[in-house]
Amino acid sequence: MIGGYTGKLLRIDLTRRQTAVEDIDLKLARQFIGGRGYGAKLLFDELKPFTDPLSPENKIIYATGPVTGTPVLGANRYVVVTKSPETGLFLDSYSGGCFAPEMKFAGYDFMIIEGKSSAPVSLWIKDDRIEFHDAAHLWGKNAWDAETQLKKDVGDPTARVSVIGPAGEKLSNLALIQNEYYHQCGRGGAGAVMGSKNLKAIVVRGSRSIRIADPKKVMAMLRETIDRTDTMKPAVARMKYGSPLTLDSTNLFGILPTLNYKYGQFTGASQIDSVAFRKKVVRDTSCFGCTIGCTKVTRIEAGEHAGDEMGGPEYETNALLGSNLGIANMDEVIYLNMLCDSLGMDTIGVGNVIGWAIECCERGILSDSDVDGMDLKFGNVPVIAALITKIAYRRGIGDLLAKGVKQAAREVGKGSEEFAMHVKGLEYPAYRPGPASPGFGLAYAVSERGACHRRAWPTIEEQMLEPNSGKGRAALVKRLYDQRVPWHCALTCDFPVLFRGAQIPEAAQTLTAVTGWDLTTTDMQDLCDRVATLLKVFNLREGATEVDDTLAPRSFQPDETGMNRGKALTREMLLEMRQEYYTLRGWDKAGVPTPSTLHKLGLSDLI
Amino acid sequence: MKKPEIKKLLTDKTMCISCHQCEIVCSQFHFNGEVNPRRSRIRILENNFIGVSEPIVCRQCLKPACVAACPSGAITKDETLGRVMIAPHKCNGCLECLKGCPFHAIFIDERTQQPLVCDLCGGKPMCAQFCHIHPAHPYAAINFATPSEMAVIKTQTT
Repeated sequence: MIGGYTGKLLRIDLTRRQTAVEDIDLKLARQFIGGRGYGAKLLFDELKPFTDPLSPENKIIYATGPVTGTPVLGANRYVVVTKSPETGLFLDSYSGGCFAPEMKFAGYDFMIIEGKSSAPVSLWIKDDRIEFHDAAHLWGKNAWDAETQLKKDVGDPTARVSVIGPAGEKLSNLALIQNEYYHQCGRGGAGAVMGSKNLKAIVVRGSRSIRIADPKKVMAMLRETIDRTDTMKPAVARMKYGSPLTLDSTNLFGILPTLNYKYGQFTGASQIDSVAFRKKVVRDTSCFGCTIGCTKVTRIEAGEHAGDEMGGPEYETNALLGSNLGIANMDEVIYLNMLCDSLGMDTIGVGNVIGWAIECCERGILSDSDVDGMDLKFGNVPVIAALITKIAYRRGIGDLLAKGVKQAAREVGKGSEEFAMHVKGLEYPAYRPGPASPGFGLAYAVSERGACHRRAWPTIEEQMLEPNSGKGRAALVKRLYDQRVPWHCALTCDFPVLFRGAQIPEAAQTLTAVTGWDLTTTDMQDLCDRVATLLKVFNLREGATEVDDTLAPRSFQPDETGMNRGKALTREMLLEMRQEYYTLRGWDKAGVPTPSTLHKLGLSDLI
Repeated sequence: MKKPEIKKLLTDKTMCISCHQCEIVCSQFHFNGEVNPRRSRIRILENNFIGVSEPIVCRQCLKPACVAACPSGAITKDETLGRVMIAPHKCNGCLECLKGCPFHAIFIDERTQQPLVCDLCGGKPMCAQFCHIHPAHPYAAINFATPSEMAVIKTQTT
C-alpha cells in the first residue's frame, strides 16, 4: 500500500440509507494526490453538468489527503468539495481542528454523500460500523448545542462532529459546516448543501492507524520544521496573535475593508487590531498536530455579554464584522462572531451582505419597511445582532440577505449591484482590491470558487512591486497560488507552511516521505497546473466564462480618500493581468485551457 | 539516606494547547511509524467547547496502585527509571489496572484491547521532546525533569 492513504472511500446514499466502501484509484491519487485535487476529480466525474446544487443529485465530498493525520505540521484539514448553491460553480471549503485525522483513523480518505434523506438524519461512523441516526431532536438546534448533544448521544466524548446550524437547515447561501465548535468550512454555502440533504451531522470516531512510507524521514522533517518555524519572526508573531495579526498590515497598506469596502483604512482600527485582540485572549489552543496554536479562546470583557467565551475571532471576522460594519469594539465583534458560529453562518459572507444592506439603507434603496423598521446603520451593534439572527432563520429582511449579496442585489436592483462586493457570487473576504492591491483583485477574479483569500495571498509580497500597477501581479498570484496547491491536496493547513516559507520542493519532499512515491518538484508544478486547470474546466462546463473572472464594479472606482486618492484599479489593468495569468497557465484568451495544455497535464479526456 | 530524585514526565495543563503532538509521536515511536492516538501511552483529555486540555500520563507513583491491582503479576516497577512495566506474556487483558490507577493514566490500545502505560520511551520520552513551548507560555506542558529541575525551570521562566 502507498503510505499515508487509508486506500478507502466511503460512499453514503442518504436516499436509500445504504453505504459502500470502495478502493481509491491509486493512478488518480498519484495524479491528483488528494484533498482539493482528488476531490475535484471525483466531483467532476460524478456530477452531471447543471445539477441543481440543492437537489438530491448534488454530492458532498469530504476529502482528506495522504498527509492528513501524519506527523507533518498542521496536517489536520479536510475539504468539503461540492457544487456551491451560492455561485453555482465549483466549491472547496476547508476546515481544521481534529475531524479530518479522525476520518482517517476511522479508515477513510474520502466520503461521498449523495441523495437526500426523507427526514433529518445524522451519521455515526465508528471504523467499519456506519449507522444512520434519527436527528429530529437536533433539527433546529444551534451548531454548538447539536455537537454537544451528538457526543452524548453516541456516548463518546472523544468523537468528532461535523455539523450544520439553523442556517444550513434553512438552506442559506451563507451556511457553513462546523467541527469542534470553532472550526468551519465557512465559504460558499456548503452547509446549505448538507441541509438540503436533511443531513444534520456526521460523527466520526476511529481506532485505526495511519502508516507512512518513511517514518524516520517524516519525524526528522517534523523536528526540523518545528525548529525552523521557531526561528521565523512572522511565525512566532502568528503563534501569539493568530490571524488577527493581519489587520495591522492590511490597515497600514490601505486594503482593510471599511464601511462596505468603500475605504481601505479604518479610523477605529486600533480597537480591533492584534493588540486589542490579544487583550481578550484567555487561552491558546491548536488544531491536531500543529504547534502554531493560532486558535485563540477569547472572553468578552464588558457589557451585557461580559464573561462569555468563544474560539475566535479570526482576522476575516474582525474585518468583516468590525471595520466593514463600522464597529470599533473588540467585545462586540466577539459577540457577533459567537452569534454567527452558533447559528452556523460564515462571518465573511454575513459581514459583507450586512454592509451592503446598510449602504442600501443609507442610499434609500431599501426603505424602513423593507428592513422591518430596523434602524440599520453602520456601528449599530444591537440591530446588526438582531439582523444576524433574522438571516439565520430567514425572517423578514433576513430571507433576502440569506441568499448572499449577489442574489440579494439582483433582486433589489436600483444600482445596488454596483456595491455588491462579490466575485461569481462569493462575497469578498477581508482584503479590499483597489489601487493599493491590484494583486488581490486578480487573485479574487481568477479564483474558481469566487472571491477567495486562500488561493493566493499577495498581501505582503505585493508591497515589493510597483504600486498602483498591474505589473508582475500575474506571475506573483500564480506563484502564490501554486505554493499552496500541493499542501491543499496533501492535505495540510497552509499557515505553518507559509510562515516557515515552505515552497514547492518541500511539498515534494514531504509527499515523497509520506507516500513513498518518488515525487519531484516538476511533478508538483504539474499538479498545480493540473488542479487549477481541472477547476477551470469544471466552471466552464457549468457555463462560467472569462466574463465571470472579474470584480465588483466598486473595485474599479478611484479611491476617495487615503494614500491612493484619485487612483484606481481600472478594468483595463485587470484585463491585462488576467490575460497574463491565463497565458501563464496555458489557457487561451478566453481562459479556456488549450488542447496542448490539457494533453501535457494528462487531462485530454476532460473536454 | 534520601533517595536521589528521578526524572519524571511532569505535566502542566495550563501550558497545553491541545495539539496532540505527544500522542502522534508516542504511537509512531512504539508502533514502528504508525500514527494512532488510540495506541498512545499519553492522552490528551480535552474540552473543545471551552478550549481546555490536559495531558494524562503515568505519574510514576512510588507505590503504584496498578501493580497492586494486577491479578496476574504482569505489572512491575522498574526502579532505575521509576516507570511501571507491563509484561505482555503475563497480562491476561482483564484491565483491572485501568480501574486501579487513580489518575486514569493507563489506557487501552484500541487495536489490541491490551493495556498501555508510559515506558518513558526507554529514557528519552518522545512526547517531552516534541512538546512545543508556545510563545504565549513560559514553559512546555510536558517536561521530563526531576521535581527540583522543574522548580528551576518554573522560576527561571516565569
